[in-house]
Amino acid sequence: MTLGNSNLGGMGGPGRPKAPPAGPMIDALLDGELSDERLREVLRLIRHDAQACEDLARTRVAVDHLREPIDVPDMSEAILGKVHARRRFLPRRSRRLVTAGRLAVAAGFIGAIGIASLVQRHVPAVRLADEPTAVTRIVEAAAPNAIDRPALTDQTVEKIKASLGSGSTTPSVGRLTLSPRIRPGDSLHYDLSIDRESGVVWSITSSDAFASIPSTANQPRAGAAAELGSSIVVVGPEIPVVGAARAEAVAARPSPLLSRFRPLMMYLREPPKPIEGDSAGSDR
Amino acid sequence: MERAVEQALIRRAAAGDRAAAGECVRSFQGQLYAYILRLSGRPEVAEDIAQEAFVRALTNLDRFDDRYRFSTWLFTIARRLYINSRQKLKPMYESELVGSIGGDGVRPDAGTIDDEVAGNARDEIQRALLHLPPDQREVVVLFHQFDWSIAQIAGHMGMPEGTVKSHLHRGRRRLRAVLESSERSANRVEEVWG
Repeated sequence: MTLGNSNLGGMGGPGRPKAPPAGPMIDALLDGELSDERLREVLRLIRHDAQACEDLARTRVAVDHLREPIDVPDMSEAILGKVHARRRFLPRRSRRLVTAGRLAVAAGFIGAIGIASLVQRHVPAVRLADEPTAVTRIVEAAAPNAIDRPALTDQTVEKIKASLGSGSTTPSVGRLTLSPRIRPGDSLHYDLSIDRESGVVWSITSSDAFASIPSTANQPRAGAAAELGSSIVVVGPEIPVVGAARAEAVAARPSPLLSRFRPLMMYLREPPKPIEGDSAGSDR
Repeated sequence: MERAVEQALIRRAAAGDRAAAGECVRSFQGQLYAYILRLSGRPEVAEDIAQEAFVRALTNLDRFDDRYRFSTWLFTIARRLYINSRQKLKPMYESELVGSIGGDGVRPDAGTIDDEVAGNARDEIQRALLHLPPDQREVVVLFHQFDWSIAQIAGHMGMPEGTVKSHLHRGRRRLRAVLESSERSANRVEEVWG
């Protein structure tokens, strides 16, 4: 039994027009969509339809039950307590200041992490101290190094001067101190590179060692670069060793900062002039 | 509560006035609790969700658009919370459910017979409501209990007005059918047990 099935068609008699179904009218009535005049008309129409009247009454009773009051617990104190815990009852301006302060602290924290990360990446030797250090102590500690630095530089320059010899425009291997592995009569390649920390650095490779790079046998420049792993300024021709006995090779110790930019510097550097042997080798 | 009074209250609460916030809670907690209780049939769920909805509303009063009613906003927050929590709800035995509604219906010292009858009627209507699909139940409750218009309900539930009307009509018929069925069952029991 539904309202939609209830029909007023039977009450009018055989000669009268069929009345509209009661269901939609009752729905419209309960929806509150009817004007007073239309409401009276609907009530007049369903007055003689017992089923429609019962449906209307039952539905009205059912929905009226929904309006009956419900026991509601007082939640105000619990709610205000939670609100106070999450966000204190502060004036709007104070709350904005608190929010701005929190944002500033968070931004500062993230910025500090970013700066520390950058420093660690570019200057790995730098470590944050376990305890805060006064700036004056840092200056005091750095002072001896600053004083010694020119002396060290002078020493390096003197060493280079001594190795280069006097008055000679062509570097002479015979004046360098060489590794004992290099025998007199060996053919050598020598590389001269410039390092910010160590100054001019000589790197010597015997022809045997150099020949151990098969793919670059015909490409002395590239071979030397691959072998020594440093930027090449000069790659000299093969020079016969005059003679030496004692090893005192200067180790190339590139700066971490420079080494990061080395690929870029290599790329930007003017490409070396092709050597005849190189072009011949590449053609093959 | 009048619109102007409500707006003044909200402004004071947004400015950090604890007393205004408390007044706001006391003004709307009955409606909100009843709304969720009708939807869920479980007092503890209604209480939890009503509290959380209030907390969220009061901590975000700056975002409240005063072109709308506060109760509408509150109901929207509560509805979302209820829908999110519905998946987590455990099935409940009907006797437990019915007994937990209203309070008067289960109290041993319920007082007069009239109170008991009223309590039983409330239990009955709540049980009948739970036989309705969620959308129909919500539409019937909002329309007949809270006097929301069809347009308001459509906006709140995010569906066309025609669909809301359809839910309303079907929900009412089904509600009446469940109540009739329940009444017939009760009469049969009375006949059997005298």
